Amino acid sequence: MRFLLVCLSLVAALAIAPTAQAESNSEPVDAFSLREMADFSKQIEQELASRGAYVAMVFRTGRQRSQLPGEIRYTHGAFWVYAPVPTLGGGTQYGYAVYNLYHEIDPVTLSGLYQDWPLDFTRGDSVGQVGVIIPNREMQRRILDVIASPYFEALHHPEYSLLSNPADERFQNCTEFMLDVVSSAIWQTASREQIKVNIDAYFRPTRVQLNVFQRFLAPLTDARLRFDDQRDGIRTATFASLADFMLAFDLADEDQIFEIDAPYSRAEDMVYRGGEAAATAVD
Amino acid sequence: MRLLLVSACTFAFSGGAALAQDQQQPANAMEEELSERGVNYARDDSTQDRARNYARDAQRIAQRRESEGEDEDAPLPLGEAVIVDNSRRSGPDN
Repeated sequence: MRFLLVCLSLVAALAIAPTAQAESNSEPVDAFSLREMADFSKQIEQELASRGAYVAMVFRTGRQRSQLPGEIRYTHGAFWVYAPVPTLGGGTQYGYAVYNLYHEIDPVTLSGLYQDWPLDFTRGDSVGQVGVIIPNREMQRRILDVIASPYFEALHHPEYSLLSNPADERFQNCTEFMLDVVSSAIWQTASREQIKVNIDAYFRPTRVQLNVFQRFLAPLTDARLRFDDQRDGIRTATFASLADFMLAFDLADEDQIFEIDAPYSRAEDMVYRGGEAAATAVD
Repeated sequence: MRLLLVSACTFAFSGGAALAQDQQQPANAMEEELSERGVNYARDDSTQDRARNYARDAQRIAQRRESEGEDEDAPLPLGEAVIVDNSRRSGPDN
């Protein structure tokens, strides 16, 4: 009987490993044709450019939503920065450069900062939908200041956890990194220690529901699931909690937080509304 | 029970195996598939210096447009071609 319970627990853990992924790696998923993904990447760029956005926070999901915990809608987020790009042919093309924190392939518990392009971003998308937060003009200026400075790299902490606690310094994932950059821009500091104190005070993370088997056995099957930084449940930063934070402190306008569907989107209708994360966040 | 475990392991490893399949595409194949859209290769490879420079360029454009009295929300010009790296992707799967 005990053996049966252990086996069942293992199965439960194996099942959560893929479903809990809020992953940030650069492995291509290529769920759609290259042409479709290229068109979608350009559709996103056009939407951002039409709104005059120099900086936006864009989120994708590399897995079907049915495979994710209900509280997690996107598995990767990155800054998109408008720039003139010198091309190999000697010209210049205006477009968006994408600033990612990706975990490494080996070891997966470490991450790096990588700048790539919108097509690379949409190639990791599985549902044909992205979430977008365009900060207000003052925040865009401040975020650009951070990205253009050595602070950007100083804010990166290479110890990676898929579901990192944003109020704890020990681990960082892509969304937490974005929150750290936003926090640095707000409070004008590159001290992660200070940023974590402020995040603990002002940011309401999303609470992810894992049962006891998932909590203790999932890390055995996926090294990226590290819960040393979690107490009393799992708290992490998500598109929704970041959007709520931006709205709550007037860092973005409500109409600048939205989702974009590709023509081939498999996603259900938009569900993000202001305050959504607050419903699942920790008080 | 053995069947259950085998199924679980198959499930666990199938995701990894799918990811492990390198889907890198030869550059000319990509250009062919995107011929209508067009492809532009970024001149430099991905480095933090390049990334910082793009951000500084963005700052300069924003300042220039502001000093020229451009409306804050005015649309920004955008190229039609898709920008890629010579090495296709800057992440560790290269």
